Amino acid sequence: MNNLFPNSKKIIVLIIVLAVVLLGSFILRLNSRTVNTLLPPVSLGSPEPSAGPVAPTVQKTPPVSLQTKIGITTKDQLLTSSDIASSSALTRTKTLFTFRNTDTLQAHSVVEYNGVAAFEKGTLIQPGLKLHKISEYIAQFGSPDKIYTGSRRFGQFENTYIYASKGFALVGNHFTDEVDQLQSFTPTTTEQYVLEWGQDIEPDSGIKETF
Amino acid sequence: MDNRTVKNRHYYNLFQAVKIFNADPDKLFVDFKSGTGIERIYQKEAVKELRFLLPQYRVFKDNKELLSRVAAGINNDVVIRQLIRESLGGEAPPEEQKEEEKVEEKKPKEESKKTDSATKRSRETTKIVQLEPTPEPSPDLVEQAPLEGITRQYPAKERRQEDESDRPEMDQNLLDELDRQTRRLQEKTPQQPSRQPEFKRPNIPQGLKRIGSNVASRAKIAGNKLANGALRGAGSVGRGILNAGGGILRGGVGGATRMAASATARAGIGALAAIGWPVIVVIIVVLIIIVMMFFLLDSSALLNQFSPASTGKTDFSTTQQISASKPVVRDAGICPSQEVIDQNKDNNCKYLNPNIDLFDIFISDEMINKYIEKYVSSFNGTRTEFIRRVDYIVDMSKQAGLNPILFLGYWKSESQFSSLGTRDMGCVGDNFEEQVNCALGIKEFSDPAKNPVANCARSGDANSIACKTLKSIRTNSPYDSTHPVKYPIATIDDFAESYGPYDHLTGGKPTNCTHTYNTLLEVASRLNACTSAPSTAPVQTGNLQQSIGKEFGITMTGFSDRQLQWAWEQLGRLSGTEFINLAGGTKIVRISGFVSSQLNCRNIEFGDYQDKTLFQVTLTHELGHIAYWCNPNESSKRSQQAIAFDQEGGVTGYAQFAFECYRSSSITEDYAEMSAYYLNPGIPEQTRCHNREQVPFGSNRFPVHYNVAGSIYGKLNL
Repeated sequence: MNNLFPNSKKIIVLIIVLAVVLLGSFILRLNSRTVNTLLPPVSLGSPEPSAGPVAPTVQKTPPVSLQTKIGITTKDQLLTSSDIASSSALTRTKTLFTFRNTDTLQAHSVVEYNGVAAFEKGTLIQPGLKLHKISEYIAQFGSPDKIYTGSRRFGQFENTYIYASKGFALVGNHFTDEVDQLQSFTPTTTEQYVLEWGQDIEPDSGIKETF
Repeated sequence: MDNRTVKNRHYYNLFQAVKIFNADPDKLFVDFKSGTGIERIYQKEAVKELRFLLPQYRVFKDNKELLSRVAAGINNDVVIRQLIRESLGGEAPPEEQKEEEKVEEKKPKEESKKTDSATKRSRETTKIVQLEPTPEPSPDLVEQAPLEGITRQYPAKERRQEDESDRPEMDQNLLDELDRQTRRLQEKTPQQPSRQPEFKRPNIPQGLKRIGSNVASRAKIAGNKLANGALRGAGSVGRGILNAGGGILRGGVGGATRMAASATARAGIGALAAIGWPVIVVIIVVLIIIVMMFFLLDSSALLNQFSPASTGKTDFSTTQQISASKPVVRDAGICPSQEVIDQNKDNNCKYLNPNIDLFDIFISDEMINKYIEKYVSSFNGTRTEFIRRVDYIVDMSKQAGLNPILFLGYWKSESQFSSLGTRDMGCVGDNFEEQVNCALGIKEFSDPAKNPVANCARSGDANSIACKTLKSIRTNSPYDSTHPVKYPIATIDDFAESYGPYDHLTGGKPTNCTHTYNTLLEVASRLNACTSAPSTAPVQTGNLQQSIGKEFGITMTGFSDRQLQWAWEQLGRLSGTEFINLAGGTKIVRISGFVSSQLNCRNIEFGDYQDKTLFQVTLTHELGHIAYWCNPNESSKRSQQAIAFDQEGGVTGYAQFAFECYRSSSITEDYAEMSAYYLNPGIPEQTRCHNREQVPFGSNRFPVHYNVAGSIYGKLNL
C-alpha cells in the first residue's frame, strides 16, 4: 500500500488541505447565504431594466429591496407586471402600485415617482410564517439612523428603524424581534424620510380604550 | 360604494358639519346622505369629537369659538386636511379637486408674472405636496368616486365660495404648520431607551452558531480522546477527520479555540497512518460528499430545525381539535321548582329572583332544540315556520344583548306561540318580526322615549332617556311605590315587572305575575336556563385570585370576588384553547372607570366593569392584545390577520375606526376584536366606537377572519 503512495505525508497534507479548503468554501457559502436570507430577493418580480434610457433622476439604490429596484425599475415595467392588483395616482407625479399577496410577500406596494420606483414596502414571510429578525438586520447594517415608536398600521409599540442613508427602513415588533414591514427607498436623510414616507409613524399617545 | 367607504367619510362629513354649525350656531345637527343611509352629526357630539381629535384647539373653551377656529382651519390646518383626505380614501375633497383644476388652467398666465418670492413659494409648495399622506393601500377604495354624500343644509355652491375665500392664505399657513408639525413629531417622539430592544450583535446567525457550536463541541471531546490514543480503527479515523473539520469549521465561524482544532487534526493524521490509503481516500471522498450534501440542504429548513419557536407548537389549523376541558355548566338547580312556580300562581304572586342573567345571551343548540320539540305542537303553522321564528327571536335577542330565553318565554306567555290574539310578544308591531323588535327595543322600535323598557336595560345607564322615561311613567302610577324596580333595569324580575306591571294595583288582575312571569320561569326552567357556578369554580371565592394565577398564569390585582369569578369562568371556558398559552404571564391591574389599556408587553390596566358580558369580552380583547404583541408570528399569525383586515375591514366598528376613536391602530384592535368575538361567539360588539349592533361573526360574516382566528386558537367546542 505504501508503494502506491510513496510520498504519503505530502499526500496526506494535500488531502487535508483540499478537504479544509472545500469545507471552508462551503462554510463561507453557507454563511453568506444565511446572511443573504435576511435580504429579500432583488428584482424577482419585475423585469430588469432595458438597455434603453436610464432612469433620469436617481443614481443610488438601497442595499435592501423587495421585488423592484429603487430608482431603476420603471413605471412601464411596473405597469406590465402581472402581479399588480391595482394602481392609483397619489399626486400628479406619484402613483401607488399595489401587488397581490403571495405566500412570501404580503401587503406589497410600490410608489412610482418621476417614472421610476421611489418607494417600496411589504411584509416578507418565510416558511412557517416566520418573519425576519430585527436584530439580524442591525447585526448586518449597524444601528439605525433613528428609531421611532408607534405605528399607525401596526400599533403603539411598533418601532420604525430608519436607515435613511442606506435607503431602507424596518417596521418591527421589538417584543418579538420581528420585522413586520420592510421599506426601501432612495437613500435620503431621516428628516426627508419622515416627511416623504413616514406617514405611518404615529408617536405613542397612551391609548386608552373605553368600553 | 361599500359600507366601509361610507363610514370612512366620517371626517369629511364632520368638518363639513363644522362649517355649517359655525355659520348657523342654532343648528343642532346635520344629515349627510351616503350610499347606504344617512349620517347624522350633532353639534354637541361634533364639538366633543373635535376636542378629542384636535388637541391644539382645546384652548378654545367656548364651543362657538372652537367651531369658528376649526372652520377657519379646514383649508389650512395640515392635521385637519390629512383627516379629511384620509376619510376620502386619500383623495382630495371634491371642492379642492375643482380648485386644483382651476389652478391648473390659470397656471400658464400666472407663471409669466412670477417674482422671485413667488418662485420660492412655489418650491415650498412642492415640499408641501410631498408631505401629503401616502395612504395605506386600499385597493377597494382607490377606484371609487371620491365623494357621494351631499349635505342637506349646505349647498355645494356655498361650500365652494367659502373655500375660495379661504384659499389665498393657505400656502404660508400651511408652511408654518408644516414646520410646527415636523418639530412636534420630532419633539414628541421620545428616544425611550427603556423600550429599545436589547439588540444582540451576533456575527453569525443563531442557527449556524449552534451548528458550529455543536460540531466544535463534539470535535473537542473526540479530538481529545484521539490525542490520548483512546480511539482506533477506521471509524476513529472518520470521526477524527470529521472532528478536525468540525474544529476548523468552528474556527472559521469564529467561535472555536485553535487548540482544540489543531489537537483534533493531529489526532486525525495520527490515525490515518494506521489505515490503508485507498480506504482513506474513499472515506474522505464520501465524507466530503456527505458534508456537501449537508450544506446544500435548504438553509431555512436547516435553521428551522434549531429554531426555538419551532419546538412545542402545534399547527391547530391542521391537526388539533380543541375541546374546552372546563365548560360552563348549566343546570336548573337554582331555578324555582315547578312546585314553587305553581304555588306562585295565586294572588300573592311574587318575583322570585331566579338565577337568570338578563344579559346572558348564551343559548346552546341543545336548549333551542328542546324548546322546539317541547312547544312546536302548540304552534298553528308548519314546523319550519316555528323554527324560523325561534331563530329570529334568538338572533335578535343576541343582537340586542338580552337573554333569548326571556323572549322565547314571552312568545309563549303573550300569545301561546302566535295562536292567541294579535300580539305575538305582547308588544306593538304589525307582524311577528315587528313584535319581536318591539319587545327588544331594536330597529324601528329603538326610540328610547317610545320604547323605554328594553332600551333602559340595554343602556346600562339610569340617566339614559329610556330609563328616565320609564321612571317617569312608573312614578306617575302606583307601580314604583308598591313594586319598585332599580334603574337601569338589570334583572329578569325588574324587566318582567316593567314589561307588564303588576296591574292588579290599578284594578286589574295580577296576571302579569301569575301568568306571564310564571310562564317565563317555566320556560326557563324547562330549558335548564338558570345558571349555576361553573365546574371550574373553586369552593372558596377568596382563593380565586391565586387560582387564576396558578391555573392560567394570569395575575389579577384589585378585582372584586364577583369580577374574579367572571374571569375564572371565562378563562376556564377557554382553557382548552391556545388562547391561554398566548396570553399567559400577563399581569392585570384593576383601575377605576371603564377604560382599559395595555401598558407594555404583558401588563394591562383594566376598567372596573360591573357587567359580566362586558367584563368577559373586554378581558378577552385585552388578552388578545397580549397574544398579538408578545408572541412570534408563527403562533400569533398576526400577518395572516393583517391580510384578513386588508380584505374584509375590521370585524367590528371599533376595529374599523380605532384610529378615529382612540388614535389606535386598526390592525391591532382588529386582532383583539377578532379574538374577543371568536372566543365569545354570539355576543354582539360591545364598544361604543361606531358600534354596528351586530354579532361580528354572525351570519357567516368575516369568513377570512374567522378562519384565521380558528387557526390561532383552535376550533371551539364551548
